[in-house]
Amino acid sequence: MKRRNLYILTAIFSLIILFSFYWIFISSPKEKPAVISETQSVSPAIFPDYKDVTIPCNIAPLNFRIDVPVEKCFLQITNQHGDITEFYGTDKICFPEDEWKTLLNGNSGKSLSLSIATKKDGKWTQWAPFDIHISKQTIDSHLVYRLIEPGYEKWHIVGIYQRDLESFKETPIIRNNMTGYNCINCHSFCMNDPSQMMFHMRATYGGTYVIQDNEISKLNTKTDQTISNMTYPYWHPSGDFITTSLNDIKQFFHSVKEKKMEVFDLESDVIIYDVKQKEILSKASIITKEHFETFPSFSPDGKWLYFCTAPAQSMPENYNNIRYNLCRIAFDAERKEIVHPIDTLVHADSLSSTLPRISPNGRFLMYTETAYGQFPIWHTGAELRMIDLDKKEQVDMSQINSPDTESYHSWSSNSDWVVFSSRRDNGLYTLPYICCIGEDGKPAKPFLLPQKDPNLYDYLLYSYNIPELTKGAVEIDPYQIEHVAKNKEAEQIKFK
Amino acid sequence: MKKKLIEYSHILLLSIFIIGSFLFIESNFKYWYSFMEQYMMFLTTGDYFFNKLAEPGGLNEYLTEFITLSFVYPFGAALSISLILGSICACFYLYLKSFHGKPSMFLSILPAFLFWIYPQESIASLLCILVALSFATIYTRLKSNTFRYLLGFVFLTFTYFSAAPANLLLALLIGLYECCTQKGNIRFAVTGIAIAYSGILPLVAMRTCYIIPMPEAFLSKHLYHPEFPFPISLLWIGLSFPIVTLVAYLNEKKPFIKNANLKFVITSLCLLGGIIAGILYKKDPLEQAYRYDYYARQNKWDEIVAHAKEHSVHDLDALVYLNLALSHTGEFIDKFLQFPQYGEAGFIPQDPRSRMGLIQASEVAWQIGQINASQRFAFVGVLSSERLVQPRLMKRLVETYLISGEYRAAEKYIKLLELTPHYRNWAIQQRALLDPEVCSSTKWVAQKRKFLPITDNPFDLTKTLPSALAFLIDDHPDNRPAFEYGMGYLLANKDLGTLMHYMQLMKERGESFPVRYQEAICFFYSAVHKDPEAFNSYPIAPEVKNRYMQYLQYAKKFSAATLKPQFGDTYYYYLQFAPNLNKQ
Repeated sequence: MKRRNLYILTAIFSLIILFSFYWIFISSPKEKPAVISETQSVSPAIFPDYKDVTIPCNIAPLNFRIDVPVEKCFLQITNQHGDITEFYGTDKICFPEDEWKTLLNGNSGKSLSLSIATKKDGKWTQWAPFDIHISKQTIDSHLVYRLIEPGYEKWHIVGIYQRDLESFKETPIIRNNMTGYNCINCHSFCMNDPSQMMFHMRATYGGTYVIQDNEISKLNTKTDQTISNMTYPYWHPSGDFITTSLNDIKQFFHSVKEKKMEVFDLESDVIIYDVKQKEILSKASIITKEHFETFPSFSPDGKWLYFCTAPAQSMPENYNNIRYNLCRIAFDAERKEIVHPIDTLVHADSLSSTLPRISPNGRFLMYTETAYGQFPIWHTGAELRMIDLDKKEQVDMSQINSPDTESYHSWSSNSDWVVFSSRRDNGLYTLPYICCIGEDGKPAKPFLLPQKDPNLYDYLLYSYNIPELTKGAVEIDPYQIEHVAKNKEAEQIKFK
Repeated sequence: MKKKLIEYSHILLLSIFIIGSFLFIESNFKYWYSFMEQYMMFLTTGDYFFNKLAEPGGLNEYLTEFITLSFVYPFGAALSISLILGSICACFYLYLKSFHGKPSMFLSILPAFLFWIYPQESIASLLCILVALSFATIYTRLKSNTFRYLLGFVFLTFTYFSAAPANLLLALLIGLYECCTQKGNIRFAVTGIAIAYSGILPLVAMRTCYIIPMPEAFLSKHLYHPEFPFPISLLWIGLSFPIVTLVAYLNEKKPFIKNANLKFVITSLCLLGGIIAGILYKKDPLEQAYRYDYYARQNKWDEIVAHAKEHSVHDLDALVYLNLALSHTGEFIDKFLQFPQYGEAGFIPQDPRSRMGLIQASEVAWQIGQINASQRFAFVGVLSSERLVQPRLMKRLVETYLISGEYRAAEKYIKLLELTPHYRNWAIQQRALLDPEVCSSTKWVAQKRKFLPITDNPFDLTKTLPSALAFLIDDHPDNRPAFEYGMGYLLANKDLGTLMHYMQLMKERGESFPVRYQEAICFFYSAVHKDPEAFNSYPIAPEVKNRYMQYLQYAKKFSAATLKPQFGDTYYYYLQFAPNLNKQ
C-alpha cells in the first residue's frame, strides 16, 4: 500500500512538473483587447521586418517578434474581401502552419493587412496596420545553405543543411562532425536540381564530391597542369559539365577598425570540367598568367560562360587596387571548346564585379559589386547589381540593397525569386533574404527567411553561407556521404 | 563506542572521502575547474532547455552546465564535485548492497578515486555515472521480475536520451545484478537483452532521431571535446564500476579480511593514505597558468605579480600573464627582467590555437590597443570551444565592437549574455553603451578609441610581434602599453640600436626615462657607440650613472657570479651575462 502511494505521488509530481513547463514555456493565453487605451499612427517595430514585403504563396509562416515593450498581443489579418483571421501571442506572433497555409492559399496574388494591438501594464495600444503581399508565384521548395561561424581562420562545426521553405524543417545534408571536423564548402546544384549536386571537402577526407542520381563520386581535382583544386563551381544546364575557378587563395587581417580581413587570390584561372569523362577540358579553359579569372557561371542555355577577370597584379600589396571586369565567352558544348572573343559586359572602371548569376529565363544577370577584389563578404559597401540582358540596361536595385554587405545570390528555377546573403541585421552574421523579382526586373522589398522562433537569429552563432534554391529535397543520405568520404579514395581527374 | 564506530564505518569512510575530495580539488584543481567554467554558458530560456533535450545526453549536459555555475564562487567547484563524488560512492554502495547485505564502502569509493587521477574537463562524466548508478540502484530494489524488466527497459531508454552513455554502464550493472543475484536461465537472457538493447539504441536513434556520427550517438558530444581523440581514462572510469562489482561479489564469497575491526582499520588507513597522497602529489602541472588566468579574469593583476615574485614563473603561459600583469600595473619596464624571459613567446602566444593561448592573445592585443586582433582572437576562442560559447571572450567581443562602433554586433552578444545568470548584470550595464553618445563619453571606451590604430598593416601580433608593435607605436607614441611591450622586446633581445631610435623619440617628447632605459643608454654610449655629447643629452640620474661607473670598474675584475648580488637587477648585467633569448 505504501509503495502504491509512492507511485501515485511520483506520477502526480511528474504531471505537475510537465504542466509547469508547458505553462511557462509553451502556452500563451489568448486575450482580445476589450478597450483600446491608445492608438498609434505607426505600425510597431517587428523582427524580422515583414512590413510590406512580397512573399511567395508557398512560404512557411512569417512568425515575428514585436520589438516594443509588450506583455500580450493580438493580431487581426484582414484580406481584400474583408475576411478577418485572429491570432494571439505574447511578444511573438507564431502562426499555426495549417492556418497560415489556408491564409496564403486563399489570398494568392493579393495583399493582407495586419493590424496589431499590444497590451502593456493592463492597457491596450492599437497600432497602424501594415501589408504583406502574396505573390502567385511559388518559390522553389528548398533552400540549401552552409552554416558556419563567421570566423576568420578557424572553424569548428560546419554543415550543409537544407530547409523546407514551406515548413520549418531543417535537415543536414552533411555536417563536418561526421567527417573529422574538416571544412565543407562550395555546394552547387545543376539548375536547381536537388539530385545533381557537388561540394568540396578540405583537409581530412579532402576531395570534390559530385552527386548525380544518388551516386557519389569523390574526386581529386588537383592536376599537374592546374594551380589548385576546384574552387567556386557552377553547373552547365546539361549536367555534363561544371565550370569552376582554380584559386590560390590567401587572407590577411587588417589592423584598422574600418576593415576586418581580406581574402584575395595570388593566382586564379577558370576551367570547365567534363563530369562524364572526369577530365578538365583544356580547350574550354581560361588559364593565363596575365589575368586572374574567377567566379564562372553558365548561361541557362549553356552557350555562354560568364566569369570575372582582372589584370594580374602582385598581391597582397595591390589588394585594394585590383578590380574585376565581368565578361563572357561562347562555349560549344558539342566540341567542348570555348570560342573567342571575350565580351566585356561590365568594365571595372572604379568598382569590381563578382559572382555573376543569370536568371533561369535568361533575362537578368545579377552580380555583386564591391570596391575592389572578388571576395565581397567583408566589404560593407558590397551591393547587388542586375543587368536586364534584353534591354541591356541596369535595373534599379535600391530596394534590395542595404548599407551593409550583400553578397551571394541564387535564382529560383522560375526566375521570380532570388535568395541572397546580407549582413544587414547586425553587420556580422550573414543571413538569407528572399526577394521577389517582378516581370520588369524590379525587386520587391526582401524578407528574412522565416523561422519557427523569430528569436532564433538573436541566438544563432552561425552565418548562412551560399544559399541555393532547389526544386525539392536533396535525397542523398548524410551517412552515405560519410561512408564515401571515409572509405573511398579520391579518384584523380585528368587534364585533357 | 567501538561497536558503533564499526557499525557506521561506511558513513565515516564516505565522509572522509567527501572531505578529502573537497580538499584535493580546492588545493590542486580549483583554478583548472574555474578555467573550464568559462567554456559553458547556461542560458535561462525554455528554448535552450528544449534544445538540450533534443540531443543524446542533453539533459545531463543541461544539469552539468547548471551545476558548473557554482564554480565561479569560492569553494564552488570543490564543494559541487566532492558532493557528486560522494553521491556516486553512496549510490554504488547501495547498488552493491543489493548483492549482499554488507558491502565494502572502501570498494565503493575506489572507482571515484579515478576522478582524482584523471580530472575531467567537465562534470558531465561524473553526472553520467551518477545517473547510471542511481537507476541501477532503483532497478535492484524492484522485487517483481516482470516489473523490474519492464522498468529496466524504460530506464535504459531514458538514460540514453538524457545522459548517454549512462545507458551502457547501466546495462552492464543490470546484467551483473541479474547474473549474480537471480536464478534460472532467464537472468542470462535478460543480461544479453539489456546489453544488446543498450548497444542498438544509439544505432536506432541515428536512423530515427538524430543525424550524428556514431561516436556522438554512443557517447554524446558532451563528455570530451569531440575534435580530440576519445580519452581512454573515460573508458577506465566507466569500466571500473562493473569490475569493482565483480571484485566485491567475489570478495563476499571469499572475504580477504574476515575480522571487522581489522578491516575497518586497514580500509581507513588505505583511504586516508590515498587522500593524503593525492592532495600532496597529484598536482595540476599547469596550476600556475590557470591561477594567473583566474586572477586576470578578476582583474587582480597585482596578485599575479605578487605570486610570481614569491614563486617565480614556471611555464610560458604563466609568463605571458605575468608580463601582461606587469603592463597593467605599470611596472613592465622596471620589473620584467627580474623574471625569466623567453622572447616573443613570453609576451604573446605564438600562433595561438589552444584555449588559453587564444584568451591570452586577445588579452595582450586588448592591452596594447590592437582591438581588431583582440576581437579576432576572442572570436576564434569562442568558435573553437567545444560548446561554441565562451562568455568571457564574448564579453571581450562586446567591448571590441563597442570600441569600433559596431553597435548591432555588440548587441547580439549582449542579448546572449543577458540570458546567463553570471553575466546578466554586466550585459545590462553594457546595453546603455549601445547609444553612440553614451558610448563615446564612457571613459574606458574613450581611452581605447584614443589609441586605435591609424595606419593599416597586415602584421599579425602573434607571428610578427615587433613589426606589429612598431606600427602601433608609430601611430600613437603615447600608447604606453604598446610602447613598453615594444621596448621590452628590444631590451630582452638586446637590440640596443633599435632601442636608441625610440629613446631619441622619447627624449624629443620630453618624457621621463625609467631606470632600465637609463641603464641601456649608459651601456650603449659606453660600450657600443661612444659619444659623450649625445649621452649627456639624456636625463640620466646621477645614481644610475654612478652605479654604472662602479659596475664598469668591477666588471673588469670579477666574475658574473660575484657581480650578481650587487648588479644582478641591472640591465647592463642582463646584457652582458644573460644568455641570448634564441639560445635559451
